[in-house]
Amino acid sequence: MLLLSRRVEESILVGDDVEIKILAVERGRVTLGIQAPARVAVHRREVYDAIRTHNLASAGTSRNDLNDALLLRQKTVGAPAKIKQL
Amino acid sequence: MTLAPAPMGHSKLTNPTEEIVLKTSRFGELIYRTEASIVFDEGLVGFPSVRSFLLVPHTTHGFFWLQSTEDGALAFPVVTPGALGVEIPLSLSETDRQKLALEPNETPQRLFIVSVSLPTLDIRPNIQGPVFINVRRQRGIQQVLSLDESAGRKD
Repeated sequence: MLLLSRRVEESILVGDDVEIKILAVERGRVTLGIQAPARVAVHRREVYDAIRTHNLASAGTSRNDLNDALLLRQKTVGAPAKIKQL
Repeated sequence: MTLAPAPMGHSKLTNPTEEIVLKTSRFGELIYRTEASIVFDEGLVGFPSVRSFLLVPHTTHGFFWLQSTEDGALAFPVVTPGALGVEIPLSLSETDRQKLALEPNETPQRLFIVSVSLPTLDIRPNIQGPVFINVRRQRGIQQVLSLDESAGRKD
């Protein structure tokens, strides 16, 4: 891993067209400004990881699992309560 | 619909109208034409190299499976927002619209990938990573919705 030290208003370049600038550092929180072409996806790591983890769990679902869950949902009064968001 | 001992998946074929037999772990043999496959250029999150899928209806209205045509053992259950009683605003950037090859006023199909928690059998839709499919052009993307109140733009 490359380690760099930067001050506020300084930036780093990733390749030719991605610039990450330090805008503010306050109470242990860093605000970054990211300049990148639209084709470059920029995500918070934890959000990306949560979606990836969910996709991995989804890929392990069998037809029986889904059928059983849907059957339970049908039987349960107030069915939407069994559906939980990620 | 029984599984043959041959390896799952199929070799790469180019004729769009050619019928292909795909051996799957969930549905047995599926017969489809290559033109029916939906292309995700960037794959799904965590599965960047799996790019071609079939949308296979489940027995329950509004539920489907995104079945990989490259890996017969890989499929993701998905559901329409309407079947869940969830409405999400359409939020597509111009880049997303280009990836989907959408016409200016065209609206893609929206789906949530779901997982089933065991043993509680909770159905968990992935609201943060909605799937969009242009059914006319057979192209799809999975979005990563990461913007919240602490993110913004300053141009």
